[in-house]
Amino acid sequence: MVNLILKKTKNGSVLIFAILILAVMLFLASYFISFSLTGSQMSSSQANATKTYYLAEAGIQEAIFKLKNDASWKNAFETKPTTEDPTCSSWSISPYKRSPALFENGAYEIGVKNLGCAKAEITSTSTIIFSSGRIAQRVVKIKVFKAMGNPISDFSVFTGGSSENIYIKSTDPLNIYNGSLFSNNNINIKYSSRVNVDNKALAHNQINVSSNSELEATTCSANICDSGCATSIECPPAEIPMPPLDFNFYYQAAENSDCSFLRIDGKTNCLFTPKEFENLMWQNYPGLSLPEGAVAYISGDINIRAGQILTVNGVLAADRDANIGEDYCWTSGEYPFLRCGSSQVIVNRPGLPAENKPAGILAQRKINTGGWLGFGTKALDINGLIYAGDEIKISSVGAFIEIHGGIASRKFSLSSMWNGVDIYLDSDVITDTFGNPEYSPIITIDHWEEEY
Amino acid sequence: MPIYKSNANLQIANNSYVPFRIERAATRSGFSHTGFTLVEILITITIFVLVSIAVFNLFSFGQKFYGQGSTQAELLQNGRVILERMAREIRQAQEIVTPLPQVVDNPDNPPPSEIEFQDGHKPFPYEYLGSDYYYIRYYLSTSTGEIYRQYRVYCFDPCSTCNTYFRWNDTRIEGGETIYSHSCNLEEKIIGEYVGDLKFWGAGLIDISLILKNRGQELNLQTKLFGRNF
Repeated sequence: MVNLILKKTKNGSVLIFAILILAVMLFLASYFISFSLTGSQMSSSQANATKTYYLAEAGIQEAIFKLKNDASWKNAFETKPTTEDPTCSSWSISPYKRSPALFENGAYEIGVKNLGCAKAEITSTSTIIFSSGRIAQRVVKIKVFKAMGNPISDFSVFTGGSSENIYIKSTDPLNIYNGSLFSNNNINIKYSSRVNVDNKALAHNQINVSSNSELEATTCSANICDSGCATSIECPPAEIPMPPLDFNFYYQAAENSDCSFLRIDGKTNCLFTPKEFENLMWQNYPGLSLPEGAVAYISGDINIRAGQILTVNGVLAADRDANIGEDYCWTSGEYPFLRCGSSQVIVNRPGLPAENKPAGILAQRKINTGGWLGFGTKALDINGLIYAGDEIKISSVGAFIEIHGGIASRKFSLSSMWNGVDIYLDSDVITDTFGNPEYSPIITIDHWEEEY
Repeated sequence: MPIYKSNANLQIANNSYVPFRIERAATRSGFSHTGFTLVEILITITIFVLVSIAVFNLFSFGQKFYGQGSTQAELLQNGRVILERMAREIRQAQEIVTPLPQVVDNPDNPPPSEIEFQDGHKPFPYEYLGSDYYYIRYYLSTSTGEIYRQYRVYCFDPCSTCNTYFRWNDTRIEGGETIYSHSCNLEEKIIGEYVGDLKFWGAGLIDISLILKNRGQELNLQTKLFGRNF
């Protein structure tokens, strides 16, 4: 009986062991095959995911291309703010789908969401449908914007005439801080002049510096191309048309400005005839200070002469010319009948810079200065834009000139300025005074993210 | 003479049943020994061979998938490195030198497997040359399946003595003959391998097609690029 039990145990154990080992082997094998299959599926999915990712990226690139080159997309994206719609909430771009895209079984859909004036979120959703019926999808989102400014707001001195020049002669020194010079024709520097420019001197045609003069700048033109110039776009730079300046806006602003406390003629606004403004200066001799934030508009020429010190706390605009310091003496029918001396003009920007208020001296035709400009340490102390539709001619000024802002005209000349001129670029005041800002041509990518 | 150890076995014997296993007495030692018949051994060997083949196939199958996964990963890595590097530099390029066809499938103007453009980034580490024009050329070596990146300048003088640099399309007239500037490579490096095909085409938006191949595996990556400066 004992033997029988022992023998039966022996036979059964082999079978059980065999089955057990087989089961373990089968389990290991199935685990291994499942592991390998999963690995294979993962690598295949990863390859598909990469293909889909590049497809989504292609969608993003096409969207940026269309924002720059497709008229309907560009016009919508570059909608300008208005008083009724300051955040440009009105524009929209319909979703765009490309199928097939890159691959026969690939497609992408681009959505453009309005985030404000020239600000958008672009979503590119790409899909690849495989023969097995499986679908790979990737979503790439970016935020883009265009900076708003003025096409000439990077230039401390800009001349827009296609056959006119920036002409600097007998001036030592002209210092341009943080900004550049730009001429749609030539920049000529002659007769012992010294010009130091922090950024670039750009001329659509030529830059000519005489042997006894000096220009320290990154010089980019048709005849000179320094290493700092962007060769394909700055050697020479393309012509930039002079942006329009809306004198009607300033006329209306002057109508609404309050000059009542200065006027004795019963009027309250800041619209003056040349004679009215001359009387105002005569009555407020030697110092006339215009009201804070006011726009004074003269329907003709302005003559600032004979020891007059004029402080503009906003904008002084003229329908024709502005002549400053051209006459040493000034006669009038009113007491004291004769005044003589050198003049000075001070322009202050009203309010805080964030309030974006305009400031400067604006003339529809010319701005000329003469030898009788220069009272105290500064002849001109300007925090704003000096603009003339035609020519700005500054010559033989008897004192130092300091400008925080910029100069824009069709033609510009600076001569016999031995006391020096410093121009500190202030792009904001240029943009704010020109009004009607334009969008930068560059689309900037602000944020990038990928979704699965 | 068999010794039956149980009544059950004895009964089977009496009924003339032929058992699979015949137990024989160890006549001398007194212990009983058992063995395997030929049929048993053959069946065992057959099962063993079948199981071994199955297990081997399973392992080889797994090994194959594992290898495929590694190859795919390698192709992907190469593809991403090549595309990312080219994309970054082409987006910032100042000018595309290589003429590109508008479409991919025009037999009269097939897409090239190289692209050359003016570098729009800081020319690190070659600023000391003082050139205004640096160029990058990517091309596919079809014999090795490798993508090369050349960083170059253009000169009129021999490369060994050149110290004045020009645009790629600058010319000058010497002795009545028009001489074209020629390229001088500052460096040439392999940036990716296993490339079966590389194509560039498109106007405005540049299309890139990159096909990578290795150990029977193939990966086709395509994308579009928009250069911001041209």
